[in-house]
Amino acid sequence: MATELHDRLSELAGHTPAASPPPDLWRRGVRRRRVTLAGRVVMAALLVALVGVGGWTWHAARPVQPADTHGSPHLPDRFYEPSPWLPSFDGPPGQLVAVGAAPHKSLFHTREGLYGVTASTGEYGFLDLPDADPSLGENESVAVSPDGRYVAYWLRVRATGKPNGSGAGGVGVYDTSTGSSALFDVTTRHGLYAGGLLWADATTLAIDHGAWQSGGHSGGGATGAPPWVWVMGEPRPKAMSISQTVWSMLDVGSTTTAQSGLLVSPPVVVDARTGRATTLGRGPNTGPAILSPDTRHIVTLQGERGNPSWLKVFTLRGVARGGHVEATEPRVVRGDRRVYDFVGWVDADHVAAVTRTPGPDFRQQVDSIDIHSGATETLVGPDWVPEIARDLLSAPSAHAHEPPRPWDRRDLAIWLTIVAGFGLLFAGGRLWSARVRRT
Amino acid sequence: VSAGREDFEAFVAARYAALLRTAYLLTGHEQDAEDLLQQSLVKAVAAWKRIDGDPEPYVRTILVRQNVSRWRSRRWRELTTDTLPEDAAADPAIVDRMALHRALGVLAPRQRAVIVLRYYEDLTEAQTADALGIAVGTVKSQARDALRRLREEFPELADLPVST
Repeated sequence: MATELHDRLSELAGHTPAASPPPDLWRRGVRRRRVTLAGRVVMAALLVALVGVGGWTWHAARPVQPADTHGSPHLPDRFYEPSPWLPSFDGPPGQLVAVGAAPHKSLFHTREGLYGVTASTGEYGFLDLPDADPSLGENESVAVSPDGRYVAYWLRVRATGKPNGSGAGGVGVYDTSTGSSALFDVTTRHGLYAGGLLWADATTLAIDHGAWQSGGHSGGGATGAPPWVWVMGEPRPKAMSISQTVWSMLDVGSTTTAQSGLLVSPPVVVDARTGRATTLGRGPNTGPAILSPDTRHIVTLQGERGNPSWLKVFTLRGVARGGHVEATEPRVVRGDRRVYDFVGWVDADHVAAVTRTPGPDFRQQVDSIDIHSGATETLVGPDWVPEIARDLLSAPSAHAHEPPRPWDRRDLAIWLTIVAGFGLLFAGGRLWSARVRRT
Repeated sequence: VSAGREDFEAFVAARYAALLRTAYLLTGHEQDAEDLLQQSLVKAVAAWKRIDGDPEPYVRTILVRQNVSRWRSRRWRELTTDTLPEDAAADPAIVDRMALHRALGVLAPRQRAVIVLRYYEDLTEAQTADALGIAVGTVKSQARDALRRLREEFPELADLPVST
């Protein structure tokens, strides 16, 4: 019977009209082969380009380690503004040389984030601080302890009534060695006024605060209170034991500096833990001032803060540990650049200060200035100056590597969507093909 | 003129008519058959120098696969019809031929290819499977389904083999 079907098919096929093959089949075949080959080359080039871009992106996203510092703390010769797409540290980062606030982006929103720079490797990363609100703080929203172990920050507002737009909900302290945070939660009617955070020494945090009297974003007044002092290891801060007069002179949020447990706010110097105050006779009586590590000198700025100035150096005639101490007439010391703010001390004779180059395109950097001669050396180059752990100003300098610039994740998402789209099209085509084969 | 080209043109000259008949059975249309065969031969040029031995099985494989691809790409814009354009009332032999032509037209391209390769080209199941790129079991089932459908649709073909 199969033979019958064969015969029938042959008969049908036998009625196919005769036709001659066209003479150009070979030439057409060669041309088709070339076009196909060219198409494959283009596709391969595109694939290589895609893989190259992907590889480069992956490589760029990897943290770049700086020069080997043998694990010892060092001071980078400059700092960089971190990329908003920089990832957070995987775990406790360890000792930090600097902290700061910068925009931190995710796929769907942008918000202020707090980042740190590790002291041993110079690695940058955002800090995942529980309940943090980096937008708060009159001046700095974050404070690193002098040794770089602790990071103090303001907590998100907790209010029984309408919260103030600048209200805080307490203070948190992050331990960079363990990754744990100690939180001091405070619930008020409209939130806490976040005045300032200042480390008096490696384990003593002074907190300037108040209580907002109204909610919303219109500001409103805040009632004040003596600063809190939080000694690490204790469960919560205590109010500083100082008189009304001394309290009125302490402005922890802006002009006050700290050295060896002492808060310096001319004309007083206050021991943060005991509240014992020293008044300075014939010395500076206003503006920012910084006490030298040996407590023999107080250095202030000539002129108003924010108006670049030279140094005024006072020599104390006693130890600022209570009572009254006289100071000598100040000497004006001119460095290479005008001074804008104090950072700390490199040693007993060299103050670290933020300086600015003159002119409209001023650039700020951190200089080491000899308080006797005015000789100036660059400690941290321009332009980005975060808050530096002041004990590390005397650490060996190391060449800083720019932190990685990860690819914008939104671009990455677009590419992934395109690739996924092609993948779906391909898979759909395969399914369609399989369906047709089954018919 | 290269040796490859000479071989190719010799093969085309010798086998064009036979391959055209197979293409006609696969497509059911004279013009489509020519287009299909020429496309398949043009495609075969790319691999001509790599073909070891008789090139006909290779060209035949391209032919049947290309026909399935053409059917997929054209099925959306082609209308099928049950009525033939020819007047087939006269000769019983013509009636028979037209009935088979129409019967093949209702088959899916892969079923049609199985029928053509198995019962016209006399390929074995394994060769048919190889040419179509499918399993031998699939060849069997496709042949069985195709023959059943031919018998159902056209009783005048009831004497077709029941199975392969």
